[in-house]
Amino acid sequence: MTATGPLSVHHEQISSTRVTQSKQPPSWFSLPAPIRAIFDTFPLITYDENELPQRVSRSRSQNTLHMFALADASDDVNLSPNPACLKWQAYLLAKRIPFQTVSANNHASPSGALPFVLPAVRSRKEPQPQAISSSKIQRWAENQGTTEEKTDLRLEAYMSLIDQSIRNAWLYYLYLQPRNFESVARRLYVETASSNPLVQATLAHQLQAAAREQLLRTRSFIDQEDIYQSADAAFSSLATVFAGQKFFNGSDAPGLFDVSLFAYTHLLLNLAKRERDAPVWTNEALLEILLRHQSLVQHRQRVLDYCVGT
Amino acid sequence: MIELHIYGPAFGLPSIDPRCLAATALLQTSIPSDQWVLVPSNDVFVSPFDELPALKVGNASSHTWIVGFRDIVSYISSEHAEYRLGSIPVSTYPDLGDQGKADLEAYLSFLESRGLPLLDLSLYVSSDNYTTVTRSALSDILPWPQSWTIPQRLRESARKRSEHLGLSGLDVDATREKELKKENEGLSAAIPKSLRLPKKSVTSLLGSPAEQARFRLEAVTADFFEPLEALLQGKKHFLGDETGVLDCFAVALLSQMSTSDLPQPWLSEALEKYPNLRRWTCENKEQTFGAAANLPWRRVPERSWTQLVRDVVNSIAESSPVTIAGTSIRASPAMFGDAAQTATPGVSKYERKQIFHKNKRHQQNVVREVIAACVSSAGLVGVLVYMGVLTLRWPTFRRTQPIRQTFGEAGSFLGLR
Repeated sequence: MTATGPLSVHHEQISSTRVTQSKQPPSWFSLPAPIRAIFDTFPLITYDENELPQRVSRSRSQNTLHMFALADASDDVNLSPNPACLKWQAYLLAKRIPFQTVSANNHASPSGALPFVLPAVRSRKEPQPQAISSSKIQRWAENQGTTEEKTDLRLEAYMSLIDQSIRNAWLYYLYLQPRNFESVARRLYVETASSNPLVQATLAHQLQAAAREQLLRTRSFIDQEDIYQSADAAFSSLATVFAGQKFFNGSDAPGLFDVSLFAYTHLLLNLAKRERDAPVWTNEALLEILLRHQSLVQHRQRVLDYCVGT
Repeated sequence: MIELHIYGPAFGLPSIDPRCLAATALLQTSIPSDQWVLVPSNDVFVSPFDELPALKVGNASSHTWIVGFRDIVSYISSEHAEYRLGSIPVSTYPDLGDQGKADLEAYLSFLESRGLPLLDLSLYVSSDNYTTVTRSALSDILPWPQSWTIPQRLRESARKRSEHLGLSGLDVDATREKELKKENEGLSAAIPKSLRLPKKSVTSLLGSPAEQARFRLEAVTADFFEPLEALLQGKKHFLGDETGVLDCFAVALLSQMSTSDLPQPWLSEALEKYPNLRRWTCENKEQTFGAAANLPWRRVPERSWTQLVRDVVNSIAESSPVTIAGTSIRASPAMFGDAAQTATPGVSKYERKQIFHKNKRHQQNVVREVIAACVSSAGLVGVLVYMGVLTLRWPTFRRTQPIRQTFGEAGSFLGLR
């Protein structure tokens, strides 16, 4: 809409009638003087509508993964710096499902959590399909004609090591380790969200409180030593079960288990690269624990090569 | 003498809490019954860690507390090599090698992260089970005033722990509130309640909330039981040829899951579908927690009046809406971080932790006392002033120029100046 939209035209009409009325003797129907003064002091301006953000996808013909992403990513494939998003991004990459990524935040998601997939629309007449939340992405991908993974019940148990021990260690390491929070979490999640220091302070506090609350669900206190110890035990268990295979499921392509682990190991290693002004760990305790298990470091490289294809 | 402090018995088992049950099973199988005692103290403040199960080691003057199942396992296996599970030291599976250790770690974490939320759902989140069984069981074992405050708090934390399973629909109270809110919105709000047609969907016709969530419950319970059934097969133990740490944890969880006298027994019904697990649970439940187990119970000493006052103050502080003092306990939990890692030679890891937590609690108590003193002295001053015993002189400032308030012509007409 331009500046001379219908609203401003209306305003001109009003002022013109006012001008003509003011010459006539005041009648019961004319506006009282003080109210007229108020209307006169506020010229009615119609602002242009906000443009849709540039990153909003215009092509609906492609599957779209909405996830947390950094605008100025150095990699060719913009890998998400958030483990939950990276897991599903790597999963779709590994399954060779064509998709585009769109940077989004939690408020954009129907379920309130990232990532989610908007499936492609084949014709223009088709209605917008339902968004697919992260818990349903696997089933959706299987419907797209990828090979269904055979479920290994033993890997189910090992999955809980990733969900529990490694995730807890990640939460502590990123949000509650004060130096890492300043150097990584603040730069990833706080400074990208707002430039207002008040908003930033609130957001930082909320993030740390949420991480703390997560860790306190199972214990009544948070103990760094315990957390790192169980992460170490989890890494070494995973390294043992992995023993010499290319990927965990024994096949030539990474499966859900591989990408779940990759999401954490890749970010731990990637945020240690000292390049340009990318966020980087200032405390390397958890990274050092991971580096003790070289087979997992190599596993991460293999998954990365398979997904990104460098 | 080793003391194990736990939540008290319920459902025909020694403890209502699965983690306490697991610790009980571990001690029962590894330590001769004349060398330890089981104390149903029901009091998280018994140790400086605010958590149960808590193991107290040492004599009355100097003792160390170890809390949580994992820490208790690692304590017994490192400090008390003489105690054995079967013929092998606690927590080691020498014949299984690295693979066995990896499996142990994975399945322990599996039981913890997938099994405990199921029990939370069944005993606390499901409204039917909570109101008819769990709440009364808790109020039987808890002393006053904790019996009023703790059940609700346990339910709150159970709800949080199990929310990721997406089965909050079992909590009928919360769901009904939501439905009522929906009903009173929009067009239907204009129609009197007695004239509204009840909206019947297929799910609501299915009856109880457990029936409605049937498919989701099936999936969630299968996710937990199937890997365990596959691991156990027809064997007598989950890993190796001897009773191990994993068996202790599993018997605690599965025994509690097999409790069938609940209004919504979906969890025990799901367990019935796995023949090997069912058989194993029946055998080991009786052996570990039954009459033959001969657990070395010891009565809890009567509470002194100072403890009672402390409990009352704590309950009030934690349940009042303005929890200035209460938040210092819950919002800022002890963080055992870098600063506390300075290892002192000759002091074990457990003692170091305990000292840290004691200091933390001491700080919290100081904060509480200061706040309580401020509030009570402010109250006292207020009362004295009100009664006229104390007169306060406020400093008066003389205005240099009196402000003239005028109300114009109307003011002078009405006599206001």
